[in-house]
Amino acid sequence: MEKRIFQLNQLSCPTCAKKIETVLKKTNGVEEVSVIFTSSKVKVEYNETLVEAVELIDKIHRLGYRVMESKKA
Amino acid sequence: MSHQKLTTILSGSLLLLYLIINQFMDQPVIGQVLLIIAAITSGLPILWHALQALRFKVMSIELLVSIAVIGALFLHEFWEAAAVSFLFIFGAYLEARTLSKTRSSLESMIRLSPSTAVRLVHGISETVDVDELVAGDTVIVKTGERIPVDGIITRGIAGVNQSSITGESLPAEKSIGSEVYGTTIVENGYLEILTKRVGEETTYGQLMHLLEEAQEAKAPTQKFIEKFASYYTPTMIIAAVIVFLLTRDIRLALTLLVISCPGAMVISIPVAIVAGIGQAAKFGILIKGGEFIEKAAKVENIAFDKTGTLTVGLPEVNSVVAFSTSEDEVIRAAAQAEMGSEHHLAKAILHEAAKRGIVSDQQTEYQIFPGKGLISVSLNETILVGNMRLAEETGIVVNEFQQEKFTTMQSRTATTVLVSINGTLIGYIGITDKLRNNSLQTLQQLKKEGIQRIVVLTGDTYTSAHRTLGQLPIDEIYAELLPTEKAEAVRQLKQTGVTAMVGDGVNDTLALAESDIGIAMGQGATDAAIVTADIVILNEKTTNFVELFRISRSTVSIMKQNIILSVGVVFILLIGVLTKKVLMDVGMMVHELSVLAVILNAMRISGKHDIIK
Repeated sequence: MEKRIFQLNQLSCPTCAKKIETVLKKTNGVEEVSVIFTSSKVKVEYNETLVEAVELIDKIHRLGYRVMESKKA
Repeated sequence: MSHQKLTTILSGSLLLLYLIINQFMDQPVIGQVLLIIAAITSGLPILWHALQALRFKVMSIELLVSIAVIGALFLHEFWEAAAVSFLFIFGAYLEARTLSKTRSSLESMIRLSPSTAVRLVHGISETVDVDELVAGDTVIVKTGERIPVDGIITRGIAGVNQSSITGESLPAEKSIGSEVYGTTIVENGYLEILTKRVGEETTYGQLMHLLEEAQEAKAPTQKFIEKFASYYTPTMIIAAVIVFLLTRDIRLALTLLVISCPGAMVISIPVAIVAGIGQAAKFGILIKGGEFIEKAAKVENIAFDKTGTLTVGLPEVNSVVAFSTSEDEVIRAAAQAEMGSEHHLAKAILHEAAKRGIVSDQQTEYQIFPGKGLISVSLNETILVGNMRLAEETGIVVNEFQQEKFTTMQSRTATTVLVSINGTLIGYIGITDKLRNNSLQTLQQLKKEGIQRIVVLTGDTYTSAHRTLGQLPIDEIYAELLPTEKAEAVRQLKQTGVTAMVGDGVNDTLALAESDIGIAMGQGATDAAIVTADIVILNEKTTNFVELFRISRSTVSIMKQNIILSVGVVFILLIGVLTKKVLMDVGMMVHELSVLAVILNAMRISGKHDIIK
């Protein structure tokens, strides 16, 4: 199990947070997602044998949000 | 310039141009073309976001706005289509800007860590990346620079501004042997520092970690409002469909979609909490989550551990009595037994030993009796250092003369410690502690702010506590408490109202955990206390208690205002839309304004002065 924190560019509407959370949660291998709206951070806990960090970043990108920084927690 | 900013400015100017043309010229076709271009410029990014989310089978607010805008275009309501999409992206842009401002005080703290450091290797200095430093490295820090690591000074002397850690900007004098913390600033001087901790291990790194966690911990009110919001949007969509089926009024149905975003509601609590936590951090008060702001605002009783909170916590030895031996021998024995203990009385004894030039480095093993003292065992000595209770329990004989001495000493000093070697009493050590500056004013202020009961819980005797604290407006002193008894006292206080416990030591952790809200105080606070506490005051300013309660109360009242504002706006809009007084453009504008209003309202929590520069 791996934990990562993604720093996004400033989220403006709280519903974006919900959107990102829903999409990541549906991803196979992702166990836990929390989006901290006020600091525009996404914390993900996932099984690294099932899904890679790049795939998660790509999903966030495709939703229209930029990942500025990704670090292991 | 960002994409978002560009489209906002472009569609905004088109709308403005339309208004001018509409005012001064009779050119309806040009006007309509302008509006259509404006609607498309600002509408396309919204539609794109909506479709992206749809590909993941997620319904978003952007989708609802897109439906409304497309619908308006089909109805030839070009002004409404343009106004709604422009207001949506302009609102998002403004919200992002103001939000990042609310967080600025927290962010400015995160940016404090220096990125490079000067490392000293075999007398040669080299500039390296901070990430390369490891424990054991020696770093050089000069005037005006930030210390990159936690460590011990091996050479030099300096005044260090520790405001990043403690909120206190008066420089602290540091010299060889002093501990220094990463991100504090050398105001004047030169230091060589032996690195002990780097990066996230440092005190500062851990504080940042706690602050981040704090933003995540949701307050109860927040959970409630999020639940409300999660029902609100689907309800509005269903309402829009029903309204359309019943009335066949597409405009009305689309307007309902426009106001179905619960933005202001969802944001109302977290912005207030972030602003509150950020404001508290400026004073060196670390609140570990929104929940604790709400609880702190409700506190009725405060229980203080005496030492290190109301008093300085650096007690000094002020008298020594020896029986058929020398004073130095009493100190030597006590110091040897207490070596390695974290107890504040131990520190006083060790300090006294150092002052008298008594060195003792014998290996000993000791057993602590919380609230009573300790017994240490070495090769040829069993030394007891503790109170009368411990002496009685271990069967140490105190004769009449010694008893009399004890009583007189107790009447003159705050704490009297008994010292015995191999079961024979050899003397007493008298230790006193001073009140902190402002302790009196702080307690008076707390009473004025509506705190019902202030009590003191202490392991010391009643006489000793009363002697130090007599002049303070304290309702009760509970003395000679063991750690479990402190917790029990807190449990009883809780029955009369929300109770905060303030402590600093290992012996307070039970009581801190038992209380409704545990507050650890001071740089002397032990790690155990900091971990257990819900709120940590990182400096020694007792006035911070008053600040803490003020900040939490104003945060909570801002939270309430925000809920009333956001829920109120939603209801007024709803009534306005259903009675056809509010159309799409006004609906969107009022909605965006309410989001901005809750953010701006939350910003009132932060004062204008940043202590941390």
